[in-house]
This record gives sequence, structure tokens and C-alpha cells, in this order.
Amino acid sequence: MEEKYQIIYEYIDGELPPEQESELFALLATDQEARNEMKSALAIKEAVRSDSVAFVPPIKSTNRIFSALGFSEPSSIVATTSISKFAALKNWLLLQTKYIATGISSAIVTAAIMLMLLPKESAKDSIVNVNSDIISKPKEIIAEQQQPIPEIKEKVVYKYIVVKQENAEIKSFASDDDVIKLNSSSIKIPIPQYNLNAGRTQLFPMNINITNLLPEEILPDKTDSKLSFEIKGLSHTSDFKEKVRPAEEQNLNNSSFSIMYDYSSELAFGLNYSRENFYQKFEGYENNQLYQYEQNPNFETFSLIGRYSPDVLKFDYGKIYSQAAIGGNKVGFVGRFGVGAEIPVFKGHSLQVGYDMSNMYYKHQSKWFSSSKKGLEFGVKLEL
Amino acid sequence: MSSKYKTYSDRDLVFLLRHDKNEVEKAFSELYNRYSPQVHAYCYRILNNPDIAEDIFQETFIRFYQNVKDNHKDLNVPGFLITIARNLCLNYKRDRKIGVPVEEARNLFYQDNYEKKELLDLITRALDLLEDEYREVFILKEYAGMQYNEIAKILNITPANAKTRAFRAKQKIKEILSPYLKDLTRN
Repeated sequence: MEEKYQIIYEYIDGELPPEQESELFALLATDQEARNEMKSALAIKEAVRSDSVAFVPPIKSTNRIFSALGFSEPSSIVATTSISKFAALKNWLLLQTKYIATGISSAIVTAAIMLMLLPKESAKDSIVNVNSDIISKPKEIIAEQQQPIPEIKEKVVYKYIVVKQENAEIKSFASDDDVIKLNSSSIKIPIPQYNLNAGRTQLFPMNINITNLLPEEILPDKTDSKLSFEIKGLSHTSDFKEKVRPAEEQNLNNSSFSIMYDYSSELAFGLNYSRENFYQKFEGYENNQLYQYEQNPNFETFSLIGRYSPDVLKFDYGKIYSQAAIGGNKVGFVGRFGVGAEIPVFKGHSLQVGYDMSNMYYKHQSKWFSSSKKGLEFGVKLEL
Repeated sequence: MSSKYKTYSDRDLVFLLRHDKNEVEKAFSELYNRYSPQVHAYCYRILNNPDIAEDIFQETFIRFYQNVKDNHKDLNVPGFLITIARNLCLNYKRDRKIGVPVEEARNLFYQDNYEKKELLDLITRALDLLEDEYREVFILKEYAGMQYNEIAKILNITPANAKTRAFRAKQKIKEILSPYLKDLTRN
């Protein structure tokens, strides 16, 4: 280290004369080594400041001093001792951070996986959309056509006759488009199922406020990693008035998994895999009749994500981001746009909460339809 | 204790200590609140032995109280406290050989993977490797929060000399921590 860097230390110590500050800033602007020197000096300074064991006298010592002088322990000293205990707790927590973080993360992920893997009783008892393959597996669905009508009433797809075209060409697209066929003579408008949220799966229903468990002095540190893994729960509402409950039989439904790469301090890109519901409302012809179909199947959606976190929206306790994604599933294309917040909890561990809007575009009988939904996503981010 | 004491200067509090029997305890408490962290940090880091440091820390404040009445008018309280603590530490060191030999400390320092150590832990170990003249200036500056002219008075050296020693102490610490700090500045 060269003597010319001494002004850096004088500045940090608050002992650099103001007239020399411009010299320091010029040095920092032009000399990479000087900037490194500054970083090192600040790191040492901060580390010393955090030496709470040295700076906080134990209550035992305080009591002995006051006792030896014949004084009672004043209230303000009591406050000091409580700080001492707090500092000791803080110190201990800092030392245990990685273990605590790993434990909490494991507990959250395990709980989430258990919740998603456990069988759901409601799936047995309620009318749900079990036909997740409604568009891509015609044979299975045609087989269901032969089941008796009472069972058809409990099928997943509700169909409403909206138009009857007497002279239209008689052609059924059902076998091509995987829609459950009903005997037209037996078609009745079913009683809508308005219990819309009964079957919603939430990934993290536990009411855990991690930040309240820890002293605020424990500031999360950044890690060097550019790669991160995110797991989130999704809770969305369709833009349509839903009359069919979401399909539930898939494990890990309404969850999202992403691998993200920090391209720069503000930009990140990644791959996302989501298991989610989209409420579909579309039309089609069967036997010269126009039907309106409504269903709420599961989809596996893969997408590419771009995320932007401007530096001006980064704070000590988190950052705000916006993101866009484009991808697809077996029936069509999916686009999303959302905003969210990321709150670091421990080194390399963050909580994320966001609001997004999703659109799915799909085709049925040569006609394009779209489904849209919006809602919350919430989960954890682990830096790899 | 009333918050009004927080607004009093050191000089006011020392005046109360000397002349107002009803205010002695509160004045002392306020001074203790103000300076016990620095004094404790000095003892703790200069001796690097928690038990001895606690004894000397307690003795420092007791002696301060006993001697403050006899001291001159413009007493520099933190300087006076640190001087008492320093003398007690020097006496203790003179009587007993303490501390970890440099070679042993150096081995201790390098035996673990430095990446796994907190920077503070590394700094405290690096302090053990410094010569006393540098280590003391570093602790007085960084832990006791003293200005160079105050350090100079306590150590009976010139302010310029104090500044140079502090700078060299940091240089040496930085050299010892260079593997860690290289990683730090790379990011």
C-alpha cells in the first residue's frame, strides 16, 4: 500500500481537511487500486464497529462497579444491560445465520411439498375439473362419452347451448378437439358451482413472519452468486366469472419454480416452470350445434423470464422489480407481466411477493381464444 | 435517570461529581453510559483475555471515580479513563507475560480456511500479530474512538507520529488479511 492512500484513511477517520477532499475524489475516480483500498478500509472499519462483544460491557461488570462505589443500578444502565443481552443474541444469531437460514428454508420447502403431495379430500367430493388433458387426448375423452348421463352431469366440462343452427353443416369436432361430448337431447344447463375458492391450493399458507423473529440489526448480506432458485405459490383469479372449480388432482399445482441468472445489477433472466390453472371459456360446434365450453384444467407452463430491478428501487431491506415472461403449454401460448418485491432475510435467502397478470392464447376449431388471470405469487429465493 | 443528564457536557458532569453529593450517582451513571463501551473495548482488545479485561475495566471506573475529584479542572474524561485503563493494562502485562506468541498466533491464523472466517474474527487475530506500538494506536483509534491528538497525549508522542502509526497498523492488518480483502474488493 502506498503512502498516497493515507488520505483515504484520514477521510474515513473524519480527519481529512476539507480542502483535500477534492484530491481524494480525483484519486478515487482515476485509480482502481485506490477504490479497492477504500473498500478494504471501510470493510475493516465496519467489522470493528460490529464488535459488540468488545463494545458492550457485561451486566456483571456494571453491577460490580456500581456496587463497589455504593451506587444502586440506575435505570439507564439497566437499558444498557438489555442492549447487552440483545447484542449477545444478535452475535449468536449472526454466527448461526447459515444454519438458521437453512433450517427455515428446509422447513418451508418441506411443508410446501407436503401440502402439495397430500391427497385433497375435496377432490373426491366436489365437482372438479379432472379433465386436464381436455384438448390433447381425444381417445380418453370419447370413451367417457359412453358413461350414463347422471355421471355426465358431474363431468368436468360444462357446456351451454348458445345457438342452434338448423342449416349448418353437420360436423362434430369433438373427437378432434377433445371436448366431452354430450347427447344433445340430454343437454341441460347445469347448476353453476360458485364455490370458486374451495379448492384453491396455496403453497405457503403458514403465517410466518420471519423478519419479526430476528433483530433488525441483522442485515442480510449479498452473496457472490449470480444464479438463484425460486419456488413460489400462486393464487390467481380468472377474469371470467368462474363456474367450474379448478382441477386439483395434480401434485404441486399452483406452484412455480424458476432458475434465474443475474445478467447485471438490474437485469436478470431465467427459466420458469409453473403448474397452474387457467379458466377457459370457448366455443365450438358439435352436431351442428354451437356450444360454449367452460373448464378449469391444470397446465404445465414453461416460460422465459426477464426481470428488471432498477437501482433506484433498491433499498436496504429489499428491492422492487418488474418482470415479463413468455412461454407456452400444451394448448397454447402464455404471456405474463408482473411486479414484485424481494426482501432479503438471510445471506442468500429472500422472500418474494408479487402481483402478476397472465394471458393464455389457444385455438379451438380454427378459432383463437384467450384466458386471462391475475393474482399473487409468493415464495422464497435461494441463491445458489 | 432523567434524560436531562444526557444533555450535560462532560465538564458539567464532572462538576456535579465533584461538588454535588445529591447528583454524584447520576452524574457518574451518565459518564459510565457515555464511555464504558470504548473503555471496555480497549481493555477487551488490548488484553485479548476476557476475564482479565473485565477486572481491569471495573478497576478503571472505580479508580476514575476515586481520582476525578483531585484532577485538574479541564479534565478530558475519555482520555483520563483510557489513561487509567492503559496504565492498569501495562502493569498487568509487566507483571505477567500474556498473549499468544507471534508464531503461535500466526499458525492459529492460517490453520483454518480464511474464507470461512468472519472478517472481525480475522481482524482480532491479525491484531495479535501486530507490534504493541501499532496495535495500541489501532485500538485507541478504532475501538476507543480517539482523535490523533488525544492518542498522542496518552502515548506521549506527536499527533503526526500517532497518525503514521495508525496508518501502518492498518497497512499491516491489510497485508495479513490480503487474501480475504482481495476477494472483497474483487466484488
